[in-house]
Amino acid sequence: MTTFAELLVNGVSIGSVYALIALGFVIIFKATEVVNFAHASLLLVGGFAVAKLVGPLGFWPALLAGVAIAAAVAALVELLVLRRSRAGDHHVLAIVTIGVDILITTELTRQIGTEVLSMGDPWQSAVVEVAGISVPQTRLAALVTAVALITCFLLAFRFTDWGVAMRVAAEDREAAALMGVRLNRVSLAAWAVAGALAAVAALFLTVFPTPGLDRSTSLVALKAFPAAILGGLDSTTGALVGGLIIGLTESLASGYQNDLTFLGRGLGDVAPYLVMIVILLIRPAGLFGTRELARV
Amino acid sequence: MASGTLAIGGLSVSYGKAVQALREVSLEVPEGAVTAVLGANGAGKSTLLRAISGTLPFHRGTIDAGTIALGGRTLSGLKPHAVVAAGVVQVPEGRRIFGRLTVEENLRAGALGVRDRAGVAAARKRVLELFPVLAERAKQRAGLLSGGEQQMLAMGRALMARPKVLLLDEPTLGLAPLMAERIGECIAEINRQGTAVLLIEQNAALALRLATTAYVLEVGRVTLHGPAEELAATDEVRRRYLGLGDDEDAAAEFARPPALSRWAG
Repeated sequence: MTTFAELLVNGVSIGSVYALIALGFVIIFKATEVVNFAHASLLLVGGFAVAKLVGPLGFWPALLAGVAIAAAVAALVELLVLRRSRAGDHHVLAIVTIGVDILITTELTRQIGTEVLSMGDPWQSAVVEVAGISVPQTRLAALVTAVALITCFLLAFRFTDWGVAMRVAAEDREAAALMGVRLNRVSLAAWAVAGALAAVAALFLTVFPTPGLDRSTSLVALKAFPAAILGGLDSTTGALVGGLIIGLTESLASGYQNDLTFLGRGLGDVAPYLVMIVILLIRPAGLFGTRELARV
Repeated sequence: MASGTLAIGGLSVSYGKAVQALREVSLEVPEGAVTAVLGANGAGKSTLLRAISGTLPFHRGTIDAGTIALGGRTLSGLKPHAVVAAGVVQVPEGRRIFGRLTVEENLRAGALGVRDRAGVAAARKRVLELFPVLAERAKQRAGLLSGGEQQMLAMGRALMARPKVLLLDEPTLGLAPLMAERIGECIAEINRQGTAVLLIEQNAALALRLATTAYVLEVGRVTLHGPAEELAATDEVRRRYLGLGDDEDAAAEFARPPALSRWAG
């Protein structure tokens, strides 16, 4: 029972980190209709910046700087690459983001080499005992941070002018433009916010129990793709639920893999994709996605 | 020229460099007046509004020649938000309200193009006086409104930006006759409060009643224009747009080239 509770807490925690990544993915898709395959590389940029700056600056300033740098790089990608080909259609732009992803990831992998960079976080490997369950402090920090960020984001999305502009641009770009919404700014803001969220996620993907940031971190980030897709690419709620589902699946599947040896080792890595496939078979647009309707 | 006149001169628009949608169209929307544009499907009416609002790029259209200006200030080439800021706001065809947002949020979206907070509050008050139903439905999802209410919301949303010129693209399309009349009254009231209106309609009877001047657009050209009353009295407009034929069979008449019809009788 304690194992189950521990796995549950771990799953929710890692799930909330996936939700941060998926949320960025969904924001960009909603604001620009572009599927951003470069998201994992933005995450790597954020994590790398934090790891490099933590020595000279200390942890918190380094984290802030990392978030700002990831946001800036995301904004630059939007400004220099996507905006120039705005006339092109979204599928082409999605493929362009694959190119961007390869460029950024290759360069960062070269920089990182075979090192494993430590984040220098204040939690280290401390473990907290709550009601008989032992949970790493990093996992609790991840959960609290993710919940706080997501709450802020959703409140802003719902109640600020920025949020209204984002939502109307997502619903009908042309009508939004007719209302005086600056689509370029909406798109830029979406990329910057997504980059910032990815940087925070990078931190929690690379702290204890993970050894640190290495060149395979962007592969871990890929797990947020099924989260975004099974939730529905155009739904913020979907991103959150999808993140939790993937986190829980992964945590439970790896936790109980000794009981599931007939399925082989490493089930935790595969399970998220299995869940995604099953959900998409039943609901092709994802759990909360709106089905694409053809205009008559 | 009056300071608030929306003037269009020699405007030519094409889509994808291949389809010519407007050819040297010139028209004027005088300050404080209602101007109507009539025309069949495909005559270029919506293209005209896209050109004014700067949304041609959404449809791969380009302005090849001509000018669009509001009181001497050039609008052609501006981005849509700059056109809104200049005081020209469009209510697009098919209403295009934001169905997933509430009525209140739709009105808020209409004010996104303006900075002046006090002005927005005044605009909201005016809109809710004009369309009391929007106040009743404020918290409802806009997609759940009836067609007529959606049209009112679309017009209210556009008025939130306090336009000098309101562009209306077929506001009565698909509405029951009684509702179309209501919308007509609202347009007259909006105009009475000082907003110039460029009204595009297939419902020619309504449009000619509301407007002071009218233009007839056919295959991308202005073929007729003049005071609305005079136009309403011409045979051509009566037959083709008002459906008031002589004793001849109107359908047969329509099939024949219009220039020949005069010689037939």
